[in-house]
Amino acid sequence: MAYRDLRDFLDALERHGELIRIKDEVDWDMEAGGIIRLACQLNAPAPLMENIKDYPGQRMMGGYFSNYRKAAIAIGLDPDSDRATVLDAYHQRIKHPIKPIIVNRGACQENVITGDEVNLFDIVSPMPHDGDAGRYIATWQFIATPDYDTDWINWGMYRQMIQNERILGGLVMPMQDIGYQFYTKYLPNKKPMPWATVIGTEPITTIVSAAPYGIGRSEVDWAGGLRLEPVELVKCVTQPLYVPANAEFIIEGYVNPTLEDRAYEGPWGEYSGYRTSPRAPRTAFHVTAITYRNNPIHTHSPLGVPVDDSHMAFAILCRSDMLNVLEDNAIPVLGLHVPPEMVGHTVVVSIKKPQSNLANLIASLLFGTKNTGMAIRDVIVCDEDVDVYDLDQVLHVLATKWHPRRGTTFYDNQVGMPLTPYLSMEERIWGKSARNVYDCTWPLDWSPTRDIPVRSSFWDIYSERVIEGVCHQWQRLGYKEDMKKVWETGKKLVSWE
Amino acid sequence: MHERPNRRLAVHKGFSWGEDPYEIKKKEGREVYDTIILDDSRDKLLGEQDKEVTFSIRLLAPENRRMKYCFRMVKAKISQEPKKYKDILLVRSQRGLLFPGNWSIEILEMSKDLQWVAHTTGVLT
Amino acid sequence: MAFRDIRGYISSLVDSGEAIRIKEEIDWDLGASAIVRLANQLGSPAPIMENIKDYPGCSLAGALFSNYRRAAIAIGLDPDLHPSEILNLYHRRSKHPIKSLIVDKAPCQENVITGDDINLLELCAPYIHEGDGGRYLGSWQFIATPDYDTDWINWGMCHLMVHNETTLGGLLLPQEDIGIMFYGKYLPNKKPMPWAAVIGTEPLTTIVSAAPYGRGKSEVDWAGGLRLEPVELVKCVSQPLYVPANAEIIIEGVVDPDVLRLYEGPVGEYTGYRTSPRMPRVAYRVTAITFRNNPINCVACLGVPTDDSDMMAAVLARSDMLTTMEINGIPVVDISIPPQMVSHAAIVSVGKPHSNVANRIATLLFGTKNTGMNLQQLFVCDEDIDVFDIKQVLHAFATKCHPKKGITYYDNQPATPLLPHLSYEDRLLGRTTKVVFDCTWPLEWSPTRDIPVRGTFWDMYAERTIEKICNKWQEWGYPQDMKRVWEEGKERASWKKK
Repeated sequence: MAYRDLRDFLDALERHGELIRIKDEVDWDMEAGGIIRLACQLNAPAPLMENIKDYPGQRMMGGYFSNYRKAAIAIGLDPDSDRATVLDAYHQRIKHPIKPIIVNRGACQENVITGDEVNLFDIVSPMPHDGDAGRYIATWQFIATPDYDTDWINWGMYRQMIQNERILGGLVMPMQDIGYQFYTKYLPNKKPMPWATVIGTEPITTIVSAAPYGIGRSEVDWAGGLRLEPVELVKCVTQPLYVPANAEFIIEGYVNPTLEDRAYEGPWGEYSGYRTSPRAPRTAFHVTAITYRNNPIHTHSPLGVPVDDSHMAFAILCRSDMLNVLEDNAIPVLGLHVPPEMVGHTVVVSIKKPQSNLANLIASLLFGTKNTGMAIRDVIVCDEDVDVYDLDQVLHVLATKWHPRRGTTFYDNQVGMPLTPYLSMEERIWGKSARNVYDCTWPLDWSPTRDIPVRSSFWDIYSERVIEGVCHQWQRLGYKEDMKKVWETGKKLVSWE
Repeated sequence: MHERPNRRLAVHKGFSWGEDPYEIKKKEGREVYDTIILDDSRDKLLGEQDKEVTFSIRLLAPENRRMKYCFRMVKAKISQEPKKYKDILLVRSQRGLLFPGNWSIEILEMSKDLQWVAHTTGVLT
Repeated sequence: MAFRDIRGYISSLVDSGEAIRIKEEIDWDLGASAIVRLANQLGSPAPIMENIKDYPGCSLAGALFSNYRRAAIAIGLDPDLHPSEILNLYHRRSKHPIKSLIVDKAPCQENVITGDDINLLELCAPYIHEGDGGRYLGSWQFIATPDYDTDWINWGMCHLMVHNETTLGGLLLPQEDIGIMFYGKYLPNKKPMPWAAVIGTEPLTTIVSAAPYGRGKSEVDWAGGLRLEPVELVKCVSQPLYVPANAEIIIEGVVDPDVLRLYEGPVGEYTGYRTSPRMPRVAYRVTAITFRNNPINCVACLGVPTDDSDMMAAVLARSDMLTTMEINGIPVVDISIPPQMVSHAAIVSVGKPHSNVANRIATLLFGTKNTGMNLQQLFVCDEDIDVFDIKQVLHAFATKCHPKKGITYYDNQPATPLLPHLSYEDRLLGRTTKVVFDCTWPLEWSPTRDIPVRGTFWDMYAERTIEKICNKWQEWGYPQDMKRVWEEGKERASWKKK
């Protein structure tokens, strides 16, 4: 059964030892961000800070989706499931979207502030990192925007910084869905674009906004599919828009249909693990209403080096998107991993190789997609005997099976993203980059007996009778690992069947 | 790393691992040897069937188990037919993969000599 | 104090939970090696197997040096130290070699077998990987060879396969030290080359043989330096050669000065594959076997990481590369050879003094005789990366290496025949391509306009915020002692001291 709201999910985290309640007073100014950041870097439980300086009655939390355990709990799986099991469960559910339902009353509107009463500084938003340009009310949340002339509602995870009591500033890129709606529809028609920022839902409803879902497709259906239950929506109080009824905070407003209405925003620490993109004039979001639950919980992600919530969202959802693309194109893909440790810039694919240069077919496909291709820098392609979810195995293959000349294809003059750290200022501004494919598969023209090396892993280099003998005696010899179970679970994989 | 089983490489499917030679010996009542061939295919070996050939084999089920895997030179007749000659011969590739299917062998002479070859320059392995 | 022999080292490993003694009967035919292999892959304690089928009284031990903890114990350090501290001690001690001393009587000669009684198959040589070309008596051991006309004694680690009762076979590459001796001196002078295989010493004496030490330099001095005590040597019974007195097993013999070869191999190699096929290789004719009572034979069941070969490179090839960079004035902060990448990759952090320093390091290291051959990929990072934290390195690679400007290929490089990614032809001819990934910020980037600021807890917050959170961390219910971590690390984060 799906979690009804954030609080329901936090209880589940606590049951599995993945939540720490902090009763001490915590400062919203850097300290809260620092705590969440450290928890992510230590792969520690998520902190729920219940006593925030200057904001009695409001709470803060973050790092609730920063590892595979938490991601498993979020869709009701055993937290100890392996990476592939968690990823495949998400991927299967994503294929069956469920439409939302509309409710009349929403917990998110227990408190309503409109008109002159609106003051963004009354919400417990953090100063995330030292040196950020301002307080970021929106870091782990999403902005809902209705399409101008269809019933599509886009959800996207876009950051928002507080400019003053009633204006937020943020990045709206033309190649993203919100930019598509604004620049191609609202702006030419000179109509203000309504928006609502949704803060504090159970994780599924929020993470779907962090991954691309395609023009014209509403993320809320995707969230419903992942939850196996529809998301409940309620009408906003000041804008023609529906938002999740059980969210903690909703901020409503509009964007003026002009290119002149800009505010200097940024910098702030981004998903790549750096503060890369500089202070620049960005879109102004005007606020018309704030609504929130009693004792609201603010969710925050002080993005930085891996692994935090954003990297996990890519690892799960961008993976699913890429897997769809490969499946639609009949690539015999066995595993696909977007290692969170490499912030989504690298994709590792394992295939059962039916033809030469399949690695480049995969790369061209992925580099070309609107959705997830933009952020990728390299594709690493491995044979079927590599567990792509085990980074140590991938490194071993890169060190031993990749020929730096034969195995590399360089794609020049590619579209770049402005947040990419390795690009120069000029390349960032004009969106210019390059990409690489590292083919770590044995060439098809190598003879299986003369040319292709035999891997010396315990599981490859011994016959099943030897493996079974050792696994069965393992604990009796004095070792602690239950290899008998590992072998029983995995034996069908090595049997070539 | 590699804490649990992975898939095995598909192109190596069919090169089965060996049964315990002593089990085979017990079951069939025949001696068991193997030989490691140096060409990529078994063509050369196929051409030497039923002739008296001199080559190197390994003992796989000797009476004194300590001698298992010891090399011996033999003069013998071999056949791809598994039962044509008295004893069993397994065939391995130069990288140790076991070719499927037992051969048969009749050993005419066995010596403690080894298979000496001339050194060729350029081949550094 | 140095370990006298392998028995002392094993006891110490057992006491630290890094080895377990196995009393159950284990088969030398695959069983023992499979246990070693699995222990390596799980990162589990080293198996000391004291009851070997067909060989009562003999033991087999493996995975004796397969992680940083064991490397620390071997040199007498706290196993919980950061790898960098362990390796730097190895590096410092390597600079002060200590000469060996000669003794008259030695445990390694408690039992002596010569003449017609020699039968190598009476020693419990394991059959290591299924499909190997034979039983390997030597896999974690070294061969000592005296130079033809100087007093240099070379030690080199190599595999030795049992052909029959009196003959071993192995690789003898012309470019290695032993090859320089044989092909450069013994063979032209038509003199047999004496050798002795030394099996089962305390680890420092054995590992120095796995790394290059330079022509004319005897590894035994290096081992003495690492031990802080001289190695005791004893004269062989049948060859003009000295060997470690406290070794478990010594096999003595000669390589005859002719060009006849025996087919040897294949065997699973350090790369994690069986790559190099069965080939004609050198024959080692045995003239004597000596061993201690109840000898312990050592097996390195090489394969996918992490095993002894990966760790020996991580410790010793690192030291060699560091020395090369130091004498060439590279402002290297740290260097690691990640065991996951089987000595094919090195990660260097530098305080970048000029543009393209990454390529200067690459040409320097790729060109050295000693360790350049195995090195295929070089990653160069700024000084803010912990090169021993592979996840930090992957993050730097994913975010700081420009896919075009940051990568340089070096074509037409010499290669060893064991590289799995080479075609059959390239392996025979020994040629490959190497690569350097420059993961440093360009020097022409403005520190304020262009160079991104890293978003880690330690970089992105003022010291007062870091200190407050670290001090309270455990009080809030988290397990990690961040107060201590901060106290130990704050100096590094302060820019004041390197």
